[in-house]
Amino acid sequence: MLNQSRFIYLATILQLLLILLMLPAWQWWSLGCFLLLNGLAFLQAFDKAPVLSLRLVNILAALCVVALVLAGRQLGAMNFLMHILVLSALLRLLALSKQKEARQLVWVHYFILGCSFLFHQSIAMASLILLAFVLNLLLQYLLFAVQMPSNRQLRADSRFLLLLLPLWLGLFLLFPRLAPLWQLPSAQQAITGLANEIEPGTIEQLVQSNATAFRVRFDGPLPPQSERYWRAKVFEHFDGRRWSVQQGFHHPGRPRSRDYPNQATELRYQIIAEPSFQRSVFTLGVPTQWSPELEALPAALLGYNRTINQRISYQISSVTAAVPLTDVQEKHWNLLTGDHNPRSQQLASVLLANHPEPHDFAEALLAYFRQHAFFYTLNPPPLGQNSVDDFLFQSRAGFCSHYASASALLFRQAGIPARVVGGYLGGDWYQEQHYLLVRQRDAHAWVEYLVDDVWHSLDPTAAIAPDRVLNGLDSALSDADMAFLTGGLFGQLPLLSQLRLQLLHLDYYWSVWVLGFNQQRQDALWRSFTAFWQQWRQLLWLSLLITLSLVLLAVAWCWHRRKKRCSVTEQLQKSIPDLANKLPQQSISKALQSLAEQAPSQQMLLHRVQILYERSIFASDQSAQQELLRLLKQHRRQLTQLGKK
Amino acid sequence: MVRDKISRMLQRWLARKFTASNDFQLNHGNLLVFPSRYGFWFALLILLLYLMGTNYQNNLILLLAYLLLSVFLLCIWFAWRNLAALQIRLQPPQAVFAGQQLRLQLDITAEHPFQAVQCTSGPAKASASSDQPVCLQWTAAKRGYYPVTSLQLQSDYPLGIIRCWTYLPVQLHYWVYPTPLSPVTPQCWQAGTPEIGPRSSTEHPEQLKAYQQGDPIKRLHWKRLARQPDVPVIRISEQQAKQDPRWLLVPPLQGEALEQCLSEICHQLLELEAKQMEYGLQSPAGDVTLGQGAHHLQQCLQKLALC
Repeated sequence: MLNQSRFIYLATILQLLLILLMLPAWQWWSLGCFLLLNGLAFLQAFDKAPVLSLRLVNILAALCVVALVLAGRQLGAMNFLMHILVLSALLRLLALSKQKEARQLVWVHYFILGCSFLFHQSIAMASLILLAFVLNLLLQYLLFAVQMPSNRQLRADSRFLLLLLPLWLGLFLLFPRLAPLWQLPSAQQAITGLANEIEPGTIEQLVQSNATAFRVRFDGPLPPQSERYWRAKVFEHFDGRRWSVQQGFHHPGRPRSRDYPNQATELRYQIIAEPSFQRSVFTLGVPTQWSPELEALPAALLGYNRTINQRISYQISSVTAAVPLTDVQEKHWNLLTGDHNPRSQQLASVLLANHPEPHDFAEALLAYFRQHAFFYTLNPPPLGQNSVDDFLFQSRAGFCSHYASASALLFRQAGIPARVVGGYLGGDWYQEQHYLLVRQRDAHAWVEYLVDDVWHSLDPTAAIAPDRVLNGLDSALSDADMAFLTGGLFGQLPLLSQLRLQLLHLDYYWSVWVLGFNQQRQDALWRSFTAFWQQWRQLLWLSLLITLSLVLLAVAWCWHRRKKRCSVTEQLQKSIPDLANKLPQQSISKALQSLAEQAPSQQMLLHRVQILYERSIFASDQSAQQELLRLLKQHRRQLTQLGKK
Repeated sequence: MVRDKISRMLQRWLARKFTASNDFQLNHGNLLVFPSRYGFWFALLILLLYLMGTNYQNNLILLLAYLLLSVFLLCIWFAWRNLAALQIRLQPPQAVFAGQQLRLQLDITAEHPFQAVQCTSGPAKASASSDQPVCLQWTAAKRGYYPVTSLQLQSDYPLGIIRCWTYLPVQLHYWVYPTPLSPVTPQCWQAGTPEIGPRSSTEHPEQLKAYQQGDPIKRLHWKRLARQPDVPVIRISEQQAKQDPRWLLVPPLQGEALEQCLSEICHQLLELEAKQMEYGLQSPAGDVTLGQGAHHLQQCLQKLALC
């Protein structure tokens, strides 16, 4: 090992980083325990604490394992594994004595780094993890090297280190990708985005978050803002105050695209969704085709085949048509009103008496909201148990969910099946980057009512705040609400928000090209490569041929040179043709001597040739050989003339 | 048994691959590269990360796996380059007395810096780097004339996952002389002379014996040749031999006694050399005539080592 104290010092820093990276996996007590152990390691690294004996470390390990096993049920399989991994690394460092143990430690660090990607996928966190990886690589280097590389060596090696990049990217782009081989446990985390319940106040809270919910790339033209109703959930159960998702109620129907021959326009889009720790995904209209990892849910919704605990990307085709009835029971269920909100029941009866036709009833409902003093606000007054009555006849101020909730109930009370739909409306379109960004603040709720076994959607918010539908939330809110939403100093600095937007775009490309790179994209890459090949086939063949022949030529030349080099005697015989006339038993040296006697004018030269030849042959003197070759080349003419007179 | 066979095959392969000498140039032809044991653990790590990345469909984990794989592949090159183009020249080791440290000096030169090269020869190990000369040392246990067992150069620089190594069939031998021990009385060796001088009486019949093949020709008794057809030879009489203290004669002993005696003779030789006296040695390994000087001493000691 190069330097043990440096190794321990760096390993301690790395472990602190690992603990922080895996933060979502920890409980408060395990975090405390880990930080304590890490602190102990720091003290050891600075020689402030004695090195623990193996026995003490084993006792510590046993205690921790007992605690973990007791808490195991609460942790879940995945987090349990993380605890074990990090704990073993921490304890191993505390009692590090052999090089072999240090190797194991480095190995486990790599594995933990891999696991930390399960929790973090943003570009910033990925960079941090990469930094930790480099630190661990350095640790491994320290284990096996004797000294740090000199500057000269670094310079020489850096060229080859650069090779790492094409190798890495090539592997990423070309290495075969497989479908998941088996199901692994995933980390348990709190859900984000729309929950399975809507009560007054839920969406207002959600809207305060500026976080990204998902991003969309459209294959065709972008649908207008007012048509971008992203359906995520339908809420069909109402208890007087709270709307919730009906669990296990009806079978998923799978509408097919041939059901909508004429009126529907087809949309194809790719969604990159942030982890929500739920299964629901976002669709426009009625989905007709979708990626294999999605599955059909009731009410023409789609769900991911497991909890979305990391950024995912999926492809959907859908038609902008009304949602068909997928189950007969659905109709019955969406008529249940319960025996609450009596005053709204009266209102529904009055409206129905004047407008018996369902579509007319819907119009009348919107007109009712328009004609009375209803307000659209982010901070509505709290409502009681009969929330719809309170809203319609007392507060008359609410957010989208209030209007949706009241409308759906009124429909039901009028005998028209209706439900609340939760999702997102609109989103910010970035023309340059060509994607739609939908944030949590775009969360929205609207209504679907059933006529002739088809669900028609109705957005009561449009009656109160048409700007919300047409131009987005910001234009619909009052100044006071906006100030509340953007809150604080930082939201208003233009430079900072510009920077934040740029980071958001960077994050988008990161998701598309790194996180969302899947088999389809790999196939597309291959296809474009083969297309390129088809197009430039002749040229590529030609260049390949030329390169090949050049390489062959180079090899032949090297071979020739090598052959030329290996025999000095042959070289000499070639240069002095008269040597061929020597007697077989005569040595080359002797022949050179007799040549020198015959040609006194070249005596000096021949004598020198003889000496150099003997030195290169019998003393294996490389410099003499080179000198000889040089001499032969220099006096080529005189030497070829020898013996001709 | 399989091990022996493999080892024999390896030796045969080595003999084909390398010509024995004391001057080596490491290159493609004689360097071996293979993952080390830790390298296989590393490969397992890559496989695990790949499986995890696949199962969670997590591209970042896959990226990490590919990065590790690239590091692994690049390490092959770095490990090879650490040893490639090294020129190794071996100095013949100095003769030592048994129990002393034997030193085998390696002169390693290279155009590029290298480090963490483990040199192993028999029991000796040493680590070489570009700025520190290597000297393999081990204790010479027993007198004799030994070949240097083949030298192994190994390096798992930089990350310990790839091992690059080579075997150098060294053509070097070294002498280990008996340990000199001051003699205990009575002296175990015999003083004597194997040579006959003119002063000895050759007429006495007891000193004659029949010729045997291999007897020196100058011991022939030419005068008697005509008289007696069986060619007589002069026999050495022991009483006569004992008279000359300059001659050391290794007695026909075996085992520990022989070792002890050789050690004492060795001591005696060194002492005689220090006093600048002439001395000769007669031993089963061969005789050394009377003489004096460093070269003469070396010859005598070599004979002792071979007894």
